[in-house]
Amino acid sequence: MTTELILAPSATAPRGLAVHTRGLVHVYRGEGRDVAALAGVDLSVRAGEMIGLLGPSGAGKSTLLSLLAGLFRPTAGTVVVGDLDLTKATASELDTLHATDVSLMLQGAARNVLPFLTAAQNIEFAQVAAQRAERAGDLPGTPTLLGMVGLSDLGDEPLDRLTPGQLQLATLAVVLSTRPGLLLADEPTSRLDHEARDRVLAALARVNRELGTTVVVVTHDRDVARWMPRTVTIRDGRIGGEGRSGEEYAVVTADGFLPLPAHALEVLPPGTLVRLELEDGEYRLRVERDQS
Amino acid sequence: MWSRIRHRRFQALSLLSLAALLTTCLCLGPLYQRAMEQGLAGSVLTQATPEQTSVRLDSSDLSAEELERLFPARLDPYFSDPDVSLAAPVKVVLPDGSFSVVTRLYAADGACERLEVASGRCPTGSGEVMVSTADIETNGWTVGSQVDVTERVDPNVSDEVASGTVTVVGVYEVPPADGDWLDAPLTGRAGTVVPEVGTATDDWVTAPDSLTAADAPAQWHKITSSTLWTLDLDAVDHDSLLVIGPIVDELRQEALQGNSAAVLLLTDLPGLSERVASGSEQGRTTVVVLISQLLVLVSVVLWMVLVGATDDRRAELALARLRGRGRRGAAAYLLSELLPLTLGGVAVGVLVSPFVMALVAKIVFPVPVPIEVTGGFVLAALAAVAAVLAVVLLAARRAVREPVDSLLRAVPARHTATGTGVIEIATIVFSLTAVAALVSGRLEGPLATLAPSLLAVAAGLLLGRALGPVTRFVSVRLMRGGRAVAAAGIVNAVRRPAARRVLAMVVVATALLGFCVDALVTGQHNRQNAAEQLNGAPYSLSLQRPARPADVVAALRAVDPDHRHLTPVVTTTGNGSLTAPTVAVDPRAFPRVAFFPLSSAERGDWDAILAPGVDPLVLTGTTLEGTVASHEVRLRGPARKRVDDLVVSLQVLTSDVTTELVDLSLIPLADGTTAFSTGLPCAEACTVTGIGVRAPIGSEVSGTVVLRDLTADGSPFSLGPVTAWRRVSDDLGSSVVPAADPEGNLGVLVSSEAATPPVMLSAWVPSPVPALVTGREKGVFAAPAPEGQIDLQAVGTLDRVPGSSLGSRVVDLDGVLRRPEAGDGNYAVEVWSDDARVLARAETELRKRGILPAQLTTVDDVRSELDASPAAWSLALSVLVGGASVLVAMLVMLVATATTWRARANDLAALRMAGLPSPSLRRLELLGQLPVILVGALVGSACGVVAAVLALPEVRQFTDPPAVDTTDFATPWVAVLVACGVGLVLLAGLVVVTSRWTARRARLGRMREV
Repeated sequence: MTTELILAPSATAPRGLAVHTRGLVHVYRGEGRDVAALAGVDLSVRAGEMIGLLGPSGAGKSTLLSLLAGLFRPTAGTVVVGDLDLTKATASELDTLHATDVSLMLQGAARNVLPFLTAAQNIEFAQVAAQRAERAGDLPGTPTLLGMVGLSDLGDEPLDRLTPGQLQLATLAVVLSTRPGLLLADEPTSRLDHEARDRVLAALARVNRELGTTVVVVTHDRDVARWMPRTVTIRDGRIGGEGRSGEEYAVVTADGFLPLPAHALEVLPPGTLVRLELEDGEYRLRVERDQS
Repeated sequence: MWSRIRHRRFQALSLLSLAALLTTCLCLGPLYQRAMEQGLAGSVLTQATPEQTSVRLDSSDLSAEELERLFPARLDPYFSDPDVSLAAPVKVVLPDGSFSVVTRLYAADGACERLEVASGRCPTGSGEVMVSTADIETNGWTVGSQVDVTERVDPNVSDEVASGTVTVVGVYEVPPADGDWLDAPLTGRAGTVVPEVGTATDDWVTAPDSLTAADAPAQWHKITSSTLWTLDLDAVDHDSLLVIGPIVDELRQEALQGNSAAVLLLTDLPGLSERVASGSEQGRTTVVVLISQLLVLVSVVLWMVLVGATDDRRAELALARLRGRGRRGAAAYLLSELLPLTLGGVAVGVLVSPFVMALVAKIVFPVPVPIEVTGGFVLAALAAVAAVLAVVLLAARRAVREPVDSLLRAVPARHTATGTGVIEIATIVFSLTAVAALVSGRLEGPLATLAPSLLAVAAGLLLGRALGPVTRFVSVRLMRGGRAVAAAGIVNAVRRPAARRVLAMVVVATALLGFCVDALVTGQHNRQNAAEQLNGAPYSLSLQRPARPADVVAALRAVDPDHRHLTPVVTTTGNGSLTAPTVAVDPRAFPRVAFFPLSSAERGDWDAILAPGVDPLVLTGTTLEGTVASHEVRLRGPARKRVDDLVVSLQVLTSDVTTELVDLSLIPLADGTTAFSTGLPCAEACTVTGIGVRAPIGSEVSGTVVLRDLTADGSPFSLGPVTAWRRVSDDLGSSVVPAADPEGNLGVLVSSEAATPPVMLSAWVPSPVPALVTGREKGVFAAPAPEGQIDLQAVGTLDRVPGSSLGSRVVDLDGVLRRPEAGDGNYAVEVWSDDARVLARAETELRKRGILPAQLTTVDDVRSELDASPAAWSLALSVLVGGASVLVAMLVMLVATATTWRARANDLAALRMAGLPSPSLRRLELLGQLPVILVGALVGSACGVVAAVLALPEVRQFTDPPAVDTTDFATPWVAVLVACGVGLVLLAGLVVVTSRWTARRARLGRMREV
């Protein structure tokens, strides 16, 4: 099965949407106690970039993804997608955004499709709002999309006859059907075998590369993270570090804090005094051994 | 849309069915009401006699044409063309010239076509008449007879009497099948005596010219014109009857206030119309209240189901929103599936309801009723559309207003829990307050039928609230006892919100079922009781007057000598409505034959009212001879010298059961004897019932009078010992006491302060007559009897007298007939039986003896009449409501399964993966639902029974309640338990089926995402 991209870039559709968050805080109100899922996230994703959001369960990755998708408003901070500040956007603007610019791929392939429709029918269903938003001319045809994910022959099959990998590819075709400028994918490879996982990730990479679509993938799988040119690690509701081309970096926050990577904490437990020294034009951390 | 419906076809079918059920319930209301109205009108018109439904105008002042002009044109469509008849009262002298008889010269439209001419021909010209065959046989006319006729006029009105001669040209007979020919000539009078008129004969049919033409036999002074309009039953329905009644009533008013012309209007149409109007009104209220309960139940269920259905589509709504469709788009997505289904259901309901109604009508109504689509039906259909639209839109609105992030969760956020709780508590408080109002009597009438719903709603909601804590407690105990599967199943029962809703619905539905069955069976029971009380026995044959009770008794004894199947029932009503009737019966047969609703025959001491069991003193002969001996007989007072009026006499009951007093002899004063010989009316044996001493008016008499040496036609005759006679005294202080001379001859010790002392009675004659009473009578009291007022003595009580009114009392007819009183009491004679064949034999025997039956009514006839009433039909609606409520409960459970089976199957699949075997999964799933249904059905049934106890006394059992109340509101336990049991079995069976169905789908494959 091939996954050759045959989807030509659109003349009018955005090549990719930049994403910026500043001081993003989100608190879930519960019965008796509140839980802060995000505690000040500053994140910038360039237009046409592909990044992975990493982190353990409960770190806040999915919450961040939902805020980027405009599913709900943050408790504090701003989220800007393209030119639209999602924290101030009206319901209508958000609807238009979802119809044309931002696609969210939920965790679990089945949650992204209507189970009683075929893949082709799901694509048609997904394109309805985009067609009304006067983007009909730019929308790719169903055969094109199915061909793009290698499911040309399975477009009319009931979904329950597809393998998990095929279903996830069908889901990808559906979320790409509106030719979004931003594709948000929550654990797109969970429960897939390696082969299927690689096919899905390859497809995502090509969408990013050839269409310029900005792709944000949430994953806790390090193997998946290797496919990402840039990764951002979320830890305890904050940006805990970044990885670029296999290198791990700590990231200085907007208010000047520097969260250390988790593995550094083994060496530098909380309360350790460090000195920041400038030597030869570079800053070095020096642990103050004598802390008495 | 079709793919969506196919995907959830079970759910779609449920939604469609519920919408159809809701619509059917709504549409059935007006259909049932209409059918009830038409049924009532049809039943009333069918039961009415042609005389009651026709309009007849009679006048001696106006001509037929003038009478026709009085008839309102608005009534024309409902009546046939008028039949005109003319009549002139005349006297005719019999052929032998012995005396004259009374008849009418009568000319009616179409008489020649309708009458059978036995001989001769129908009169066509002036002066020609046709007489009846009975007239020919009785009076001896012949065809060709010339008869002088004289006008019969009231001498107070006119002195002029017209007379002339007519010729008999034919002999007629009224065809028996033409009983509804209201203009038929009067027959059956030949040879009879009409009170205050004299000997009469049948009408003399003549041509109109004989009455009105210039060459008529005479110029009659008084011709009665009669114009008759017969109601066309095919052209009249409920609505037109309600129109006709008031118009005819106006005509009656006009006739009453009519200027100088006297017009008599004969009809019962205004009364019939009023009866139908009040019956319809009464039925309407009950129908509305019963149907509205079902409607509310179905609406709530539809709402629940739609909430479940929309919850089932939350993930799809989330997707629609994520794909940019917005709330409107999501709503459109939802409605594009739900609206066609529910509106399709409405269409099905609209189409089906007339057929359901037709089926119901066949069962419920005694007469065929048309199923009519009225304005009410159209309104109901529109209301169904509006109700369904409202419920669907509300459910859709609730779903689409939910934020996308909430829609993405498996279950909705419980942000409305507080609000729901407040509504629930408010509903419970309202329901319990309404029930309290019912108990305290502030809620009455048809509204009382709201009781089951109110009580069940409160109980269901309270039970729902208690369900969580109770099941948690039970499951913990089970878990500690090592019964993990049962514990898990019970916890599973309340884990989902649908469980509480299903519980509440099952409670309400079974409560309605229990109540409806209770109401239905109680209604039937009460109508049966009323029918038994009204008819008195399985068969009641009334007899034509005059029917002498003694002859009837003799006929019945000939057919039923063992007193097993026949009893005479002679009901005597005194003058004035305050006097309760006396019912004279055969006390041996009566307890066996009669009904005693709400009581029993054993309740009465029947032996206590039996006539005295002594042998009658039989006297046969035509001459009685003997000696009268006086002992110290004194005659005092102003009339003491009228010794010729001091007479001893014998009171006898002759063979034809009439009492006669036979004077025997003058009584010698002081001490003396005298022989006597007197004639007797006893050739065929009499019964001696008394010995009387007659004294002159204004005298006082005392002393002893002995009758001895008696012979009847030469044979010795004894009056028996002293013990065979009873002492009698009256209110004036007079008394007669049995005595005997030394030889044992019977004497009368008499002491009188007034003219004539009472008759000394034989012990064979009851005095006073023992009676079983239903009122407060004690001791001796006077009461009407067939032969006049008699003294009764209360010797026991009965709850009610079958077939009679309040306060009636029962006596032995045999005893009453032994009494000497003679008179023309106002009594009716009937024969009651519990065996149709025996009664038929009795009827034959009665006919042989010249006693003609009038009418036979059976208890079933009376029951049918009571059943054909709006009150009964309204209660019959209970069958529908009860059945539909169970159907609704089953649908709720089906829908609950349809909307939750995927999640439940997934849970079970996870347990299967954890190693739980299939039987345990099935048990777990069953235990997840069965306790809820069992508890709900039991509590609901209890609510239904309690509500029936509270509410049924307020529900009208009869359109026209009978005078004697036999209503009984005891719970018909067998019927209620059977109905509730059937309901429970159906619901439990459904639970077993659905739980197994769900458990079968708990395959490991479900752990996949699709």
